[in-house]
Amino acid sequence: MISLKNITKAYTLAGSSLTALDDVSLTVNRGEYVAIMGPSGSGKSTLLNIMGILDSATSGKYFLEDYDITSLPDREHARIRNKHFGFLFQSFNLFSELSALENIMLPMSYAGVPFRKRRERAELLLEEVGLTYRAQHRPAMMSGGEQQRVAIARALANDPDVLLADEPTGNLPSDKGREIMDMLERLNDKGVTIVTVTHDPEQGRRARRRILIGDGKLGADELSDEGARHA
Amino acid sequence: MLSEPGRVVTRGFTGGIPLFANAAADPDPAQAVNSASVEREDKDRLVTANPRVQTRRIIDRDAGIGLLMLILSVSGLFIVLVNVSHILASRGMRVRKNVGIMMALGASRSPVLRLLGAENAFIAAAGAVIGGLFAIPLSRAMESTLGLSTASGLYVLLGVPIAWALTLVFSLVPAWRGSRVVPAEAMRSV
Repeated sequence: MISLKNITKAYTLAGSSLTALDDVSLTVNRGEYVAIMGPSGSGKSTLLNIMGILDSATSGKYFLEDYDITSLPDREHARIRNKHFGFLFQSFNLFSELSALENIMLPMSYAGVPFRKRRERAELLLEEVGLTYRAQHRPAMMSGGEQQRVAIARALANDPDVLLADEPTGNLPSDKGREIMDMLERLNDKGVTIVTVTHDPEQGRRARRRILIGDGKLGADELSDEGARHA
Repeated sequence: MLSEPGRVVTRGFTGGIPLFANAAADPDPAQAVNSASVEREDKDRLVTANPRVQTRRIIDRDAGIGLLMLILSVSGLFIVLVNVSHILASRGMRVRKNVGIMMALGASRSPVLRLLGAENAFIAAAGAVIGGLFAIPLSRAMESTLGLSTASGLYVLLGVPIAWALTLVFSLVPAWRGSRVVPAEAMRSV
């Protein structure tokens, strides 16, 4: 489904070049639950950003199913992000001036979904994450765990093929983190492909495939016991 | 305009500011003898006043002040527009993270540009209307202090859409730059 070929990402900072990803090749198949693990500054978030077309590679090729992402214009990138990807961030990234319901409706508005359908689907998703009673509440009125559940509902708004999560439990206490991990597992069981970047060993264990990254290069790529059972 | 030989009355056109010393005040009966001698002296000098020349002088004077005001206004407007452009660019930086999130959720650059443009258009319209409201008493004050002919309200009405349109033009670059962000970089913004 996702195929990265010889991806390199280099930044130029104060005249010197910094290589965040160095000739990375990786394939993620439909329905996988992949955890990318590595120390800070190893390039894991950069890799996730390139997968989610939030950033572009300096060189290399990226294929998402039949799309050659590297050769598509910006407008197509936006459409693919909207249709195929859902994003979870460590800091939730909800719009503080919008209610939970409005936050969930937003990606559907970019997809051109009519208002009534947007609202109905947003209410359904809020129910699925157990936050119906928070529909009209703004993010500041919710706990971190609740905000991340709203973010999950928002990420699922357009029924994406892939959920990309950047340290989704990083700002949560361990019990709330486990709730989020349970939700991700349930989503994966329903067929949603999940790629997560994490420091958390527990989340790494729960993923069905673990990829280690260091200094911009991919290291071990292994199936967990759970993953081996599904393979 | 010439009420009697050697005496020019210029009230009305210049807002009441006398152009010549002998037109500054009406004859005072108490000074009639002196005035009579002065007028006789004037008559002796055969002061002739050409209404066209006088009118031309007045028009030239008003046009000169008008040109000065125009230069000052255009300079002021330009400075304000550059400042507005900088303020909108700064606002674009403040909402950079939100723009990055919007793009991550699937917004392309055109809805972001439309959103930023609509905000700028609203700010520009508010500024133009408030400026127009201030222009009315200000023009009256200038009229009374400088003795300029009455500025038509039409100019103020015209000024509002012109100021709005110019502000919009100067807001295009900040809006365009605000929409040309890399989502991953924008989301790292504070």
